[in-house]
Amino acid sequence: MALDPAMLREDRLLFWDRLLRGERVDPAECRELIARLAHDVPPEEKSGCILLLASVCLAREGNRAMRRNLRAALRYWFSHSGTKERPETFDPRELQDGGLETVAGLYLSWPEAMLSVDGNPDDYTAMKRLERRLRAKCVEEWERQFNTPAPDEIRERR
Amino acid sequence: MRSVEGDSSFFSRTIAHEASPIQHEEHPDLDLLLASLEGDIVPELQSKLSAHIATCEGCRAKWRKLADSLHQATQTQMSRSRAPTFDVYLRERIAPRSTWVEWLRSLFEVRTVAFVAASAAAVALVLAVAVPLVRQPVVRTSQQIETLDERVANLQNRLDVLTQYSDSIPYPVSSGITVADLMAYDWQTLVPYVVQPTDSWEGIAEQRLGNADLWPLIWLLNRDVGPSDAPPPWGTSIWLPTPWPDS
Repeated sequence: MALDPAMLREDRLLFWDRLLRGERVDPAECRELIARLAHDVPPEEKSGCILLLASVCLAREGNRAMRRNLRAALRYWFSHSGTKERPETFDPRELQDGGLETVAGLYLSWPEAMLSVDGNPDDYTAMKRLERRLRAKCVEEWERQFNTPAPDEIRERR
Repeated sequence: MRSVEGDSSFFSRTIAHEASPIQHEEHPDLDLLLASLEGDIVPELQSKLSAHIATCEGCRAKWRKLADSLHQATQTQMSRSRAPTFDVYLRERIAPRSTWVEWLRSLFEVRTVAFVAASAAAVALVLAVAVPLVRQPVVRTSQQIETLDERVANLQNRLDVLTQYSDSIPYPVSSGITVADLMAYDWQTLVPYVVQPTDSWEGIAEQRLGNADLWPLIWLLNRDVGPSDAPPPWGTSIWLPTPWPDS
């Protein structure tokens, strides 16, 4: 029986939250989640699952700098979700252990995202390096999980 | 301003989908939100609550309001805890005023003592010159000069001793001694007083001199009786200054 995509997304959000907080997540748990996907699931659900799995793998395999950059990038992306709502006085360094509920709606800049993980706020190439690794991992996991070529948007060939 | 969003549309779009609103059937109650803000729930439940708040506009607004209130309350509490304690406050208040210890020290500075001694010597010299002119016999005048010299020497000795002991007195929390308080009494014409069972240095100063702040001076006069941080022994006879007739 196919599961409701919204419920699957809720389950994925638990993993995203743990990644944002810097907690370790076992890739096997994510693979188990993907295994529950129906074949006719919308493509954005597949992309969400693969990006989560790639992030979890990178958090496990990457070095310390890569893990830090991954957290910064996730905070940057998730902070741009929902209605924009920033406190009047806001210090990104106070987000150290912040999860989804803390970053959503903050609309962080990249320097702020880096500061929130004690990174160099002027290192703009960190995002590019991370995206390259993450994209490669997504392609690898897509083909492994779905036995089909990864879409061009993941391969950056649009 | 530099941008990092160039070719990251796949990531941005995917994450935007992941965090898009969900129609939740149940919502967390106030207790759970507060427990979360206080860090008082297990990590699994925290992640579940975080996922809900991130995808539910209503709960997020409620959570932000609670978080702001808690933050403000914490800031208020911290600012209060930084306030000085009462004794520190008192010390800061009285710091600019010269304390009796400082007054005594300035009195006993080498230059002051030398000035007093020189003045006394000058007086003695004047007496030594003038008295023989108006009184006879000269021998008697010489004896008086010797007596004066002795008194000056004794006074210097007493000042030295007082200087030595002034450092051993604990710093009084409330130091309200003024020159007027000191000048109200004759500190050389002393009268005896027998210590009563409930007496303390401060109590005696309060009862007999009308100013509890004068207790360190009374203790200085009677330092042989005991330490300044203990009450004088019951039944002991101590010396007190006498008030000037006009005060």
